[in-house]
Amino acid sequence: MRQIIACGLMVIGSVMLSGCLDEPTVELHEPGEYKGATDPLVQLSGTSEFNSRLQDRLLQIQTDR
Amino acid sequence: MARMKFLCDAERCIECNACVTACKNENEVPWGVNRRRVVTINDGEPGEKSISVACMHCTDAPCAAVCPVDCFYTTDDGVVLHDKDQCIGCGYCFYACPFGAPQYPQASAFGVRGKMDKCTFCAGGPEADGSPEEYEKYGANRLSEGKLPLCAEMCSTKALLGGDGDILADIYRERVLLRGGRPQTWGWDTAYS
Repeated sequence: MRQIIACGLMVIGSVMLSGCLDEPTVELHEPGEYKGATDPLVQLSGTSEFNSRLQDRLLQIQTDR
Repeated sequence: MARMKFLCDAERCIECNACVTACKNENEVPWGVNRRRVVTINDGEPGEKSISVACMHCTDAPCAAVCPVDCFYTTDDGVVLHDKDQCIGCGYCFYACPFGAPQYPQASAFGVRGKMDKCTFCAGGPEADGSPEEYEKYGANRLSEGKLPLCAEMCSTKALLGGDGDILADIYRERVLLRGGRPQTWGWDTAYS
């Protein structure tokens, strides 16, 4: 009788512990394709003239006094 | 290619909140939204440190990854922007962002969220550069005028820097060398060195 109860408890315990299983795989999301309107700044931002203008501005204003 | 970044020097920030005020004023940010905030660690205790935090314009932006309507885009120089006409105000980007950058104005009663609002690096949105529509939705587009974000440009102690990440790194490296060469951001004894 005691063996049956012990077996029963073991079965119940194993079933309960199975709920504690943690799935180690993480789902990573990648950004989708932008669906909004086109920003004129996007074309401007890649140009070397635009970048050098901003770099000059940075060196002119934000460097240490 | 230049990659736009913000950098805040915790040794120089004096928690004046002028960057917050400048941002709100320049961009007409709605009530209840702060695109930039100053966070102070150990406030009121000796050795407290403050940093100014806004959207960090992440290279691999989690806000863009979770957006169900794909309203985010990144310019060639790394500024993360979004289209408010696409935004449905779901709040996913708010939960995904580790800096709490995306915020929502209280658009109407019962806590209904409006369109997401965040720091644009003073680069506006997808509307025509400098147009009234762009200003109304996103604020100023200083980048298209050859200017950098006002928060960084008017910081009195030069704690907050904004611009090409390579140049910012050089400026910060020089400061660290002047301070004594210890390569860490926190825990310095001397400010303004």
